[in-house]
Amino acid sequence: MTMRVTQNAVTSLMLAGLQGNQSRLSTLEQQLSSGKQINKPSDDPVGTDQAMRFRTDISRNTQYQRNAQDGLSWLGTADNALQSGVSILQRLQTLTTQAANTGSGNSTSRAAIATEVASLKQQMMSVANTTYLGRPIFGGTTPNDTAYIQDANGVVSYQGDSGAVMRTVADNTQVQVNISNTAAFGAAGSDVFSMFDQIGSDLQSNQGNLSNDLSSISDALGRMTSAQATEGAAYNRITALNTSSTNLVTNLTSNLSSVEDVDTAKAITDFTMQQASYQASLSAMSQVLQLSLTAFLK
Amino acid sequence: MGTELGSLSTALSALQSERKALEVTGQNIANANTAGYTRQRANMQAVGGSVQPAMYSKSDGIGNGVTVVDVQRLQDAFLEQRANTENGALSSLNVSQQTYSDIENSFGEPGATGIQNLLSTFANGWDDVANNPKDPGARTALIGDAQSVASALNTSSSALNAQWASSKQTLNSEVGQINDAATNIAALNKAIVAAANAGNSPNDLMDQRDSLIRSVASMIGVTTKPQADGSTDVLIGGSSLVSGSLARQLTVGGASALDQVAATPVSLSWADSGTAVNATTGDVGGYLTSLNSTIPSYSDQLDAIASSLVTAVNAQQALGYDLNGAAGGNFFDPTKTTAANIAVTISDPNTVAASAVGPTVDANGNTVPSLDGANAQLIASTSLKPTSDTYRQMIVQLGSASQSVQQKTSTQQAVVQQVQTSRDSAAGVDLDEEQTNLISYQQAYNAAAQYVTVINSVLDTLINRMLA
Repeated sequence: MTMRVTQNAVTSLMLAGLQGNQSRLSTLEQQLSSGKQINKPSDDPVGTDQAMRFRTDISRNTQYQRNAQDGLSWLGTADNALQSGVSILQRLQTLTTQAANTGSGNSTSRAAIATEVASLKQQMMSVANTTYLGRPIFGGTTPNDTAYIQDANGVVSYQGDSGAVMRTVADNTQVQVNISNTAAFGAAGSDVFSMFDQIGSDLQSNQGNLSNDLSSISDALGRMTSAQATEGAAYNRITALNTSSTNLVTNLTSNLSSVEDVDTAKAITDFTMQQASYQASLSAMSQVLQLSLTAFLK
Repeated sequence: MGTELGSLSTALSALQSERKALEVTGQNIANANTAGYTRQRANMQAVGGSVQPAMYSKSDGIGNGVTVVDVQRLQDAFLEQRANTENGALSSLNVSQQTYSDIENSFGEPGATGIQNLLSTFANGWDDVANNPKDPGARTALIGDAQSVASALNTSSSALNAQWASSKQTLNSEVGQINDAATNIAALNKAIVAAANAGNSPNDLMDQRDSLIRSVASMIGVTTKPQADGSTDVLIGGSSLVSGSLARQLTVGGASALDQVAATPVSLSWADSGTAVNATTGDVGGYLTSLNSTIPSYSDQLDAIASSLVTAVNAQQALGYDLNGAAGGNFFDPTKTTAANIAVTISDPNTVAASAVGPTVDANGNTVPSLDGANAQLIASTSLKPTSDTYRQMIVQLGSASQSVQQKTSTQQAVVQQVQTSRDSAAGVDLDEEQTNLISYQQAYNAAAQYVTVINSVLDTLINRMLA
């Protein structure tokens, strides 16, 4: 049985075809104007999953970079402070050696040295109280403004704590960015300040002990340079992890773009083809619809 | 009868029949573009001689002309029923597709402004507090980020609620339309039966009835049962909606808001008996599914996400210490754990519990808080991850479900198109065919008129010229 085809059937089939064309055109238009090929999750569920994961990772790694920058600032500030500290101790070493060699020497020269030693102590105190963003970098996690305070008798004591300052610089990776006061300046009772006090009093009354003091100074120098080394290692570690994070962000951004963004060249080509196809169907429709027996009956 | 005057009655029957056939063709042409019109055809039958021979009426073998026995409506009942079924399925899928599309739009993912991004910003905010625990700026910004997340959850939840309310409204109005259509079908049944009893063919009334049945079928799946007296019964799930000239009504009951659906789902029942109606296709079927399972499912998932966020942050906050040295209090209001009402309860930036280390007491008896940031860092890296993962999975699953419905809908559209074409092929008006018929009926009419002229001249010869 051959199928009867009526005008209505022809019209509705053609309209359905046109509708299909229109809707494909409209999808391509939306992609071109938004620049995205995933405008809602149903456009590509797998792509949506990837895009969302990439976004989360990019955000987190960007934060790691911020944390790393902050950590590097901490460590950089510590490095400068420790460098100053080492210079101070070296000057102290020179002065103490001089005082020790003078032997029974000149009380005037010893007095001059004592004055300078006292001044060096204050300088060391100010180094020990270096701050970064309002926090003393050698104070651990104290909320106080300074790590060390000096009382009326000139005795210096530590008013910070022993907390570690950590920065998360990669997934499951934290790096300590502060140097503890004991690592830099020594434990309470035998730190550099009590050493300064000892040297001050030895210069006045017990020159014979100055050679022991020299070995204390040498220990203190060793401690401080070792702290510098620790700081340097942490600095390098964070720098390396930061570079990793930066590269990761770049890669992820590029991956995100390839999943989410529309390939403009391809989209425009598809759009042009679709337009041509739409025009062709309009043209065919206009010709077919005009055919009718009426035109031939006279 | 083989007489001259008898021949005139043959000619008359021809003229009348051809004219009737022309009228039917005219009706078809006039209704070529009427939606739902079924083409009609005049069935002609030759009139034979009298079958029972009697003294004065004997057949001589030649018939007595032609008569139009009926005007047949060329409808294929099977195709009608099939079209109704497929349209019902398509309507239901269209409603589902629209529901999913609206839900997707209310989330706005994937993108830079959705909830996923706000959760990431919130997590990073904790790290900024850890980097500078004394800075009130970082803490205030963190509270702001939290409020953004809570707001976004509130907005999404209220969008779902609004969608539910609007769907319910549409359902109510569709059921109203079904009820009206049922009443009209019953009235048409009555008129058709009366016309059939009077011996007429009420083809146009039948067309109207079929068109109403079609619209009801797309609103709610129906089956039809034509009766011997010319009426058609309409049934929903085996129960009659229209039975002869009696129509029953439907009512919508159950939940009137999204949060009541779990306890009392939206349901359709017969107004007179209260029994439930099993409606699974048509718009109504689609809306019932949306109202009772699709929208509530996403609303529940969103609530679970809000609840897990509140619990995770509050729990970790409680394990830490704030800038005043006190143990962390509630960050989010613990009594508000749905997406609609989640709210940030913390207002003093100092009460953000960034430190994992408790306070110490100094020589003067003052509380000295620790500037440790480990608790904040833990929240940044770990506490929010499960919430974020669950949210992402929900969005991906939404995308999959929506895509699958879209594919089914476009397949069903192709099926409906094909069924439509079949139906049209049987019942539609083809203008070329009608015009051809016009010509043939016209020629037959002309020939019959010519026959009358010839008989007239024969009679004239007989009466006026013979033996003149």
